Amino acid sequence: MSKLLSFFSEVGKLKRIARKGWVLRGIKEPETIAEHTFRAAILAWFLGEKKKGLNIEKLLKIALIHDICEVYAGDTTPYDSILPKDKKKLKELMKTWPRFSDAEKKKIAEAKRKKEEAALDKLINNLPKDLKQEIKNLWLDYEKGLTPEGRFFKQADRIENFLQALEYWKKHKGLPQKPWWLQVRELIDEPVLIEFIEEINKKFHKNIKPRV
Amino acid sequence: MVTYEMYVEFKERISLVKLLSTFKKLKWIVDLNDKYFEMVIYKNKKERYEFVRKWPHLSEDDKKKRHLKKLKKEEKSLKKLIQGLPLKERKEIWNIWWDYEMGKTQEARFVRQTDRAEGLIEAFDCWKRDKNFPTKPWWQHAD
Repeated sequence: MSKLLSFFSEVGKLKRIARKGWVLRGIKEPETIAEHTFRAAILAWFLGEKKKGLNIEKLLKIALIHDICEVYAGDTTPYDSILPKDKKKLKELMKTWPRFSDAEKKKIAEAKRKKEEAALDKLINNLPKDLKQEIKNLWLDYEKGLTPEGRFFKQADRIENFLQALEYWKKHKGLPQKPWWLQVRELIDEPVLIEFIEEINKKFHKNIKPRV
Repeated sequence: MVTYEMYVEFKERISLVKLLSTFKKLKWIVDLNDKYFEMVIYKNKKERYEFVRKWPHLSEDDKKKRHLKKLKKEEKSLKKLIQGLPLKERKEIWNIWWDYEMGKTQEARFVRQTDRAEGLIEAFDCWKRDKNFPTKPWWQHAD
């Protein structure tokens, strides 16, 4: 039991770690990793019900554990390898969605996966064997998209981030939307989630007339 | 009830600040339900320090009243939150919440207790960061 308690204490730190993407963009008191996880789980649950054949219990478990490695690995953003020190340049960079060659993408993703896997192993090291195995399998499922639930959640996770971006855009005028639109266009192909993006678009842009 | 007239009557002897402070404390005695959540009204650091160091022990009657008030408030709030959802989701959330509140199933009763335990762990982690943080109320609550 004492090992479980240590695990809960460590995971609880996610309640206080701000998501790096918002910190880089200068958002004051941004959401924490635990806050993101909470809404991503609810979002995945409800939208997952609309897709036939998904195991919702598994989907929720994936949602709950998908970011726990960040207690030690920290939050990673696609911009990390190209972050400028100059504030002006950083602001400009944040208006774009970073483009990399396929080889670069692979290298960055591999480095991130290794770092996060090591962090996860450290975090769950003292848990009972079956629980440890379950968490590791769920995390690998999410990372590699091994099952329909893992693939669905990977996209649902991006949708939560997209929704948060538009909420911050509404609250703090000036936050660029373009990177998120480019990201969802590139990553989302799940029909239920595409339909949901259209709903988000309607909600946030109902007063904006299309340019002719 | 402390009224403005009473203030005028005693204005020679008491300051408005003192009156407001008395009024706030009276509100405390009357409104036990909100007792624990209105600690911010203690401007006096020492009073606040003492207050947060114990879990409020209420009579069974007060507990019942407090629980009912909380339940009604949360019920209203949940209804407002889920009103736009499709019927299926609305029903599911409502039933799960009601189950949790009433402790109807094993799962609900278990979550209710783990919820308390989570609060205790958080309090304990706060204490690790700040040794002045009072963990006693959480121990008493968990007990």
